[in-house]
Amino acid sequence: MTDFFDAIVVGSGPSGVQAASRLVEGGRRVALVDIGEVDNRYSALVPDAPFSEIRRTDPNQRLYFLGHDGEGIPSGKVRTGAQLTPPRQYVTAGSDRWFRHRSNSFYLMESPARGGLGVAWGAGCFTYDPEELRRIGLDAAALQPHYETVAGRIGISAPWRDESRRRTCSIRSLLPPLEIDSNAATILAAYVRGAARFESAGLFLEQTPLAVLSEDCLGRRANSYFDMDYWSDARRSVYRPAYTLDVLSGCANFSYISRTLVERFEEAEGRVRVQARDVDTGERRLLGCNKLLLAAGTTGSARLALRSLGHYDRSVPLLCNPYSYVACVNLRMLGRPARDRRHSLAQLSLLFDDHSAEREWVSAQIFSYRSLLLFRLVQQMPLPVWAGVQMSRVLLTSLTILGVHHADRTSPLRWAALRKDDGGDVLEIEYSRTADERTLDRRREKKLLSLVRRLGCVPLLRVGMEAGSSIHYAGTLPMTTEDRALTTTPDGRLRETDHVFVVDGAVLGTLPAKGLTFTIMANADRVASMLL
Amino acid sequence: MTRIEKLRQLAQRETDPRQTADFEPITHGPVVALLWLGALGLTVPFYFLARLLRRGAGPD
Repeated sequence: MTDFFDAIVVGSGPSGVQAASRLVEGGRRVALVDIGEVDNRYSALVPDAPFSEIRRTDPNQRLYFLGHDGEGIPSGKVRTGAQLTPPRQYVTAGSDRWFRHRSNSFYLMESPARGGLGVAWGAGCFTYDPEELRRIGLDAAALQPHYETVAGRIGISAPWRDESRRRTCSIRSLLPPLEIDSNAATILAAYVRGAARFESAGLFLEQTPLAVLSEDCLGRRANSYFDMDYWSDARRSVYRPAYTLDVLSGCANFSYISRTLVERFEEAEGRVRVQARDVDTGERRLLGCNKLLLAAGTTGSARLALRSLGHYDRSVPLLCNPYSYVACVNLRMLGRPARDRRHSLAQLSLLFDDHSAEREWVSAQIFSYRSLLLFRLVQQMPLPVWAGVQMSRVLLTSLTILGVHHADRTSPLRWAALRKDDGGDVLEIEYSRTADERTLDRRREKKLLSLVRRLGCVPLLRVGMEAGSSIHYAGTLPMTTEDRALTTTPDGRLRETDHVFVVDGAVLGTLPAKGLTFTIMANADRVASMLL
Repeated sequence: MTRIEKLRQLAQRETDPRQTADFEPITHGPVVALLWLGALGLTVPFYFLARLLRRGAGPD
């Protein structure tokens, strides 16, 4: 065996780097293995300047706004990854080659990038409430210190408020809040005026807690409010897992093994042998460790587990938040100018509980619209192009986009299975929702939108996105106390193994409507801490 | 010219710094905005009618 480590982490996404951080801090000799694609094409082209200034002055803006090959202009229906601008599209580059899957019902996004899907993360940091954690098999009090630890590593900005009353993010370690834009400010003011009424109807509105710096710290700089967050990471204010990887790379007990695809693992003599392949040369490589941590993403970790344990043609559950977006007009901003200074990410978060027996939230992130350019809006409008442009200009400052997420649970209709085929193996995915589930989601969404109207926002257009488009995947190797194959124990150990642990979204056996990234990072830190 | 070709052309125009003003928000107050929306809304039925006729005539 050529290389041996105390622990090997597979995958450099949000959970992988958090698990690695904890182990490195604990003095373990750790290797993190990934393919590690990086963007060599666009990052140097995008100026560190306000969006409005770039639009007026940069003759080269077409290169990154539309892409060298025009890849930023959607040529048909966008099924998943609508937010991937040309400088972000490397997040999925080559994924079809390395992570084979097939499905007619699910649009999967996987990433071989350095930082995984975290490259395109919207940075929303939500904590699950005690009931949501209980359903997953986690104890709120036990997870809380790990939420705080991760918050300290990544930097989360949110308004200070008694954390027990905060619905979106119940942690103490917060930076001062970011500024919100003109559109969000009028919506928040309308909510505050009628807060008691809205809360009794089950609607809670808060400024979105974001992994974005509001002040210089952690070796990164405060957000510039240039509204270029979809295009550039110039000041590193929006957290990306690659920054943690940079910090780890300065530690003597950490090795970063990139350009390497982990293919399978096996246990022998109390150790784990990891078979990997150099993605450039095809050369095989054997690594060894005492503990293996799978953080290759919900489907990536499932693929590795199914292949290594020989469970071909056996299905595992797959969860994904159903997602739709609703374009609304904020009447209070109609025809009025907006402040130029703003960030591009979610400004506000809505949580809605319709007091049904299931006690499940519907969540919605509120965005304003500008820096994704008008032509994308025009594409969606049932108008001639010239009229669409004028309509977009009239609506631009008042346009409010709600990204609506629903919860998901295990169902026999939603699964993934590894099949053998000529080229090795392929992950087959089937995902559908029953008519009752769809009806329930729509009913809740309608109730939510009726309350949004009371905030002064009139819904214009609802677009129901394809399954998979939320990119919130979970549940393939769920955590449970029942002793079943292809599940994980409460301490994250993959059953049928003694030294293999799962630290990504695969362990969440139910999926609340709130974004999962912060919770899987906290859980990765928790699992890693138990290995010290 | 198909709609996607028109959109490509639009994207090229929008990212030309000399034409930025043609894509800036119209902010002359809510009354002017409502008048604009009303006028532009009138084009919706004509848009669908034109699409229907084009579809009858062959592929777009």
